[in-house]
Amino acid sequence: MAKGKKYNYNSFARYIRYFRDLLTKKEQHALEKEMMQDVFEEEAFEGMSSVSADELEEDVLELHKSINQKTGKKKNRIIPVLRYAAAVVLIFAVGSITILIKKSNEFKNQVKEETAMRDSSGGIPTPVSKTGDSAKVKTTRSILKEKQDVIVVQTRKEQEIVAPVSSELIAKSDLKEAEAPETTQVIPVEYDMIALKKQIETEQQIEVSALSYSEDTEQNNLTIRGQVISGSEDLPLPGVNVRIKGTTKGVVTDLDGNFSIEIPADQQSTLAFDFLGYKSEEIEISDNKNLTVNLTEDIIALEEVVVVGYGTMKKSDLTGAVATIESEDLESREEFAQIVVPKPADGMMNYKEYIKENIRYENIPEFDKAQVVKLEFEVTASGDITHIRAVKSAGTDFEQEAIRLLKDGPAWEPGTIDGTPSTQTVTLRIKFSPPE
Amino acid sequence: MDFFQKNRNTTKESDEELIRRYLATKDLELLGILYQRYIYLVYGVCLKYFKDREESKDAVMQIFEKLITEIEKHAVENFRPWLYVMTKHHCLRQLQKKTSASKKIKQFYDEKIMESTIELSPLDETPEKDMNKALAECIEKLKKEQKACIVLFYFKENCYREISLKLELPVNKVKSYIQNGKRNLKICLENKNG
Repeated sequence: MAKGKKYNYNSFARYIRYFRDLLTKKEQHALEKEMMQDVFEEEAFEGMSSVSADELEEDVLELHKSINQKTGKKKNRIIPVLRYAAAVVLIFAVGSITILIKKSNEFKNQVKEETAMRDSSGGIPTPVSKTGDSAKVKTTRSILKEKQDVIVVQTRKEQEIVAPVSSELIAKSDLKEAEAPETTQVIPVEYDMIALKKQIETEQQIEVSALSYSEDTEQNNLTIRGQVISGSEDLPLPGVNVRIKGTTKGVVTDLDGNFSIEIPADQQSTLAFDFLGYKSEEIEISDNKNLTVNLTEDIIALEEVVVVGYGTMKKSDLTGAVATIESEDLESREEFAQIVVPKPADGMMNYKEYIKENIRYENIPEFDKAQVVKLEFEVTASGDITHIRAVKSAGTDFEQEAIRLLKDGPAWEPGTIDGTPSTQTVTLRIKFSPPE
Repeated sequence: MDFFQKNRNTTKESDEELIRRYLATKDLELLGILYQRYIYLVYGVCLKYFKDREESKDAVMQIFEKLITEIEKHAVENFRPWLYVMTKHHCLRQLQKKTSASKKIKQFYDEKIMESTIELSPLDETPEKDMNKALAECIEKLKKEQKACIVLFYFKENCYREISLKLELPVNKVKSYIQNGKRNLKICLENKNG
């Protein structure tokens, strides 16, 4: 087409012959190889393979007609152009067979025979190949199948014999035919309608079997049964997820750990077994239809578990901030708030000493047995002593004397909560011993 | 029989000459003749994508309509590949438009994308029988079926049907094994070179 560049594209005629299985193995291979070198042809081939050769031929013819109708300007032109296109396409399409016949006379008889045969429709055909010694005419013949009422016979003479049927149409087709490289010249092929039909039928069978194959792949399933047991205890595990890897198809084991799952028969499948607290297991299915699966226990690392407000999830699954508390921190946190109670500024021992030495016995009545007054009071954050009251009293005098001792006594240090001074209530027990 | 004369002239013309003449005369018939040279390929590609005969036939006619407008806009130098790209784009766009498009496109990509070979594989470029060492090694590495199909097709020159009989595989599987094998070989050879 483009100058200087040689294209070796396949023609539609060649494809039709290919799909009708009318090419030799070698020719088939050549077409396949060439087809794969051109994307356009490769994709088209794929599409064309999806319909039968008859359908393909019919459709392409129809399209030629439609385009001609669309583009033809004058009415008187449409019809011949259409006819021409149809003829060319069909001649190519049906495929050509070369036969050897003796003479042009015989050839004419041949046509009659053929027509008769076709009329009787179903009569067993006779092979039409005859070899003779006189001039051989190589005849390329195509039958217009579409309407079943036209037979176009083309003849190509080898040397000098004039073709019995001659028109420009045929000459034209013949010329085209000659361009096709794969026309067999040496091997005469016996040909008749029945044989052609058979060829078409076999082709259709091939297509059908190809089709049913693809259906098989969807429907032919293999049932796999088995039991899942715990590796450490040898007990059946119920509720284990059994899934075909790479799919969403899966089942769950029953109470006895048994399961049954259907897998596609034609492809290698892997079953995945998942159960919480156990290590996941994957098993490639070969031939064993009965499986025993051992799951081993898996201890989840505590550090990886994150406590969130609404449950637990894996750290890797969690979005948002994570505050980490190490397990050692948790152990040391027995007291949650560190509370320090108020105490006398120079210690409890010295305070007791102060009380002992500063009791004014003149303020209290005489006694011979030790008396105890228990005072409750608040030490404010600034160290002041307020809200003093007696919880236990040995009498008003003792009580007053105890309060006086507290108020006049050494200063108190305020208590703290987590280091911060705060007002706290203190109970102090003051013991009055009889003077020595 | 005037029309034969005309057609005979047009069949000798190259695609590009036809385009030039069409653009000069706007004679739609010329464009029709050009389109009909490849109409079966366009139809085949449509069949591949639509998987429906009627739909594909409609698409072939739509693509012709498109051709009428597009050919004016572009200076088409190489018609055949240009037509292929236009055809493919039309098909893909139609698929996208349809409501079930996503499904079909997905199906298409799942099934077919692996098979398309845009570039020539090393095997197509160098079909000679003495394969070099790297290629031989790469072929050895292929999966069993791919290897068998590649060897039979390229080195024993068997056709699909022969391979299909020998290996007891469906014809369409043979084709996809060859194509996937070719792709794997290409990757393998590229890795060796790079």
